[in-house]
Amino acid sequence: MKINKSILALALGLGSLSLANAGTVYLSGSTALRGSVYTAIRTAGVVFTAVPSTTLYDGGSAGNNAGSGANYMAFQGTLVGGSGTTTLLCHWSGSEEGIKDVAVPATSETFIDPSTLDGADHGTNQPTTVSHSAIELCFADNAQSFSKTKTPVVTGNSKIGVITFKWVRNPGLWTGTNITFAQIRAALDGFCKRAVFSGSLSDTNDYVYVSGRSSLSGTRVNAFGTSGYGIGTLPNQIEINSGGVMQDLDGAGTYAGDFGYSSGGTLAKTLGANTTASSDLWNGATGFSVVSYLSVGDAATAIGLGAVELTVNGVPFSAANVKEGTYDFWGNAYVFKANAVVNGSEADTVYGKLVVGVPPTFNGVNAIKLTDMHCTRTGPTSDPAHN
Amino acid sequence: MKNIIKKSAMVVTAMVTAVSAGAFTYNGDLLVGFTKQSGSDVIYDIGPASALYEGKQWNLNSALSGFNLNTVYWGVIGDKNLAGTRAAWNTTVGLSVSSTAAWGKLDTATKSIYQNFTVSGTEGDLFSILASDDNSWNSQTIVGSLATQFHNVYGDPNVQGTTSASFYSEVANNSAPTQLSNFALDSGGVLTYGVVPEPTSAALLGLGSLVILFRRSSKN
Repeated sequence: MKINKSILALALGLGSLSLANAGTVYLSGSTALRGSVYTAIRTAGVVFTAVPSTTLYDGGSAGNNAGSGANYMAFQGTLVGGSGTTTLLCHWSGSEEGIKDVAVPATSETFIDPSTLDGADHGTNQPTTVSHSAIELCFADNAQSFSKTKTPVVTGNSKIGVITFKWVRNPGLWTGTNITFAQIRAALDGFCKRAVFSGSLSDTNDYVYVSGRSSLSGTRVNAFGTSGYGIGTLPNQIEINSGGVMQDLDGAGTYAGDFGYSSGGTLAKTLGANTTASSDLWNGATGFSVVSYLSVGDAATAIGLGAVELTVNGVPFSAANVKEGTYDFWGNAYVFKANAVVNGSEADTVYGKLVVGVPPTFNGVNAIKLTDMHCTRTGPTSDPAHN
Repeated sequence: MKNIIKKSAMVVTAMVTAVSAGAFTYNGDLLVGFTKQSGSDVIYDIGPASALYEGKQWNLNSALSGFNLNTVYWGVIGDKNLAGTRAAWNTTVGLSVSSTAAWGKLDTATKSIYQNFTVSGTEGDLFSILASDDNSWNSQTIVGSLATQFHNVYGDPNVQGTTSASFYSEVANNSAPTQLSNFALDSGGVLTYGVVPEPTSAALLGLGSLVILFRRSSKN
C-alpha cells in the first residue's frame, strides 16, 4: 500500500514536473483550419494564460504580414493551469500529412528552430533555421478512416466542427457559374473538353482542367470524396502561374498528373489569371479553363483576384445550405493526439484546451460549430443526413 | 541491451521505409490482378506490352499461395501514351476506346491501382492490398461503386479459375479492338502469354531446320 502511495506520489510529481519544466509541443495539419486555431491560441485564457509571444513565417503576400495565414507558427507563454514557458511549434502541412504525422511514430516535420523565436511576423520569408521533430498533435479536415493513413489507428481524436469549401473557376474560356460532380470527375481526368461544361457542340477545341492541392491536403480529400472521384484516385491536375502559363510540373515536360499545391493560399493566388489566350501545353490548343477547390478563406482570395465562385450541383454556398445539408462540399474537422502522448503531459494539456477552445472561434461560415449543424455525415464519401 | 536498441532501430528504419516509400508514376506496364473478393488481392507487374512474346511465362506460384486457383478472379490491364498514340490493353473486355477522354478514364483507373507499388513497379514486382480498398483489383475491376473505377469506365477484364482469357489492344480513336493472343493460368500458378510450343513440335521444328541446313551444305 505504501508502495502504491509512493508510486502515485512519484507519478503526480512527474506530472507536475512536466508542466513546471514547460517544454515544447509540436502541432501540424490542416491549412484550412489554421486561422481558427491561430485565433484560439492567441486568445488569452484559452491555451495560454495571456496572449502568447508569436513568431510567424511563410504566409501573406510580399510586404505584408503572414498573420493567421503563416505556414510556420510558434507560440510561447504559460499554459493555463501550468507554470514556466511552454513553446507550441506549428507547421501547417495539410490534413493528410498531419494524420500521417501523428499516426506513424517515426514521421517528423520541419519547424522554426525554437532558439530563433523573436515574436515577429516575417511575412512571406521562410524560417532562417529550422528544427525537426515528431508530431504530437494535428488538425484535419476529415476522419482518419477517410484518410490515406488508416493505420496505425490514432485513438486520441475529437470531432470539433465542420469545415466548408468552395469550387471556383478562373477567367478562362468557360464562363459558367455551376459545376456538377460529373463535370468535376471529368475535369480531374485531364481530358475534359469544354463542351462537357458548356453543353455547346462547338466547344470541343479546348479543355477544362482542375488546378488543385497535393495529396497531403484534406481539402483535396473532401473534393475528391464528395464528388465521387475517389479519395485515392489519382488525378491529372495542372498548375498555372499568376500569368496563366501552364507549368511544367516535373521539369520533364509533364503538364498534368498527380500534382498540386501544398498551400491553398498559394493556389488561390493563381486562380485570377486569364487563360483565354494561354497555350494548352497538355492537350495542345490555344486557351483553356481552370476550376479549383479551396477553403472559403482561400476562395475569397481567389475571387478577389478575378476568380468566379461556382454553385455545386446547382446549390449556392451559404452557411444555411451547409447546415441543412443541401450544399455538399464540407467536411468534419478533427483534432488528433498521437498515441505516444502521455496523459497529463503538456501535449495532452494543449490537446484538451484546443478541443474546447477552437470551436468557439468558428465564425459559422468558414467553419461551423457542431451544435449549429442540422445534418451530419460520417465522411466525404457519405451524403449528409438531416437530424 | 545493445541488441534491443539495434532491433528497435531496425524496426523504426523499416517503418520509415515502408511509409516514406512513395507512389510511382505509372509507366504503362501491364498489370495482372488476382482477387478472391475478400482478404487481400495480389497485383503483379508483367512488364510492357511491347515485351510480350508467344510462350512468355511468369511463375506466380508463391505470390498466389493464398488463393484457390480454381475460383480466383484474374485479368490483365494496361495503357500507355505511345508518342501521342494512346493505347490500351486488356483481357476479355475488348471494347473500342472512343476518344482520348475515354482513354483518360482507363488511365486514371489503372494508375490509381499502380500507385500502390512500394518498390520500383517494374516487371516482376507485386503488392497485395485489401480487397475492400478503392484501388484493389476487386474494387477497381469488379465491384467498386465509384464512377472512376475500371469496370465502371470500361468493363470487367476478369475470368475465373485456371482458364485462358482473350487479350486485346485498343487505340483511343474508336477503331475496332485487335485480339493479340491470350493469357492462360494453369494449376501450378504459371501465367502464360500465347501458346507454348509443344516439346514434340519444337523437336520436329528443330529437326526440320537441321535437314534444310544439311541439304544446303550438301549442295555447296
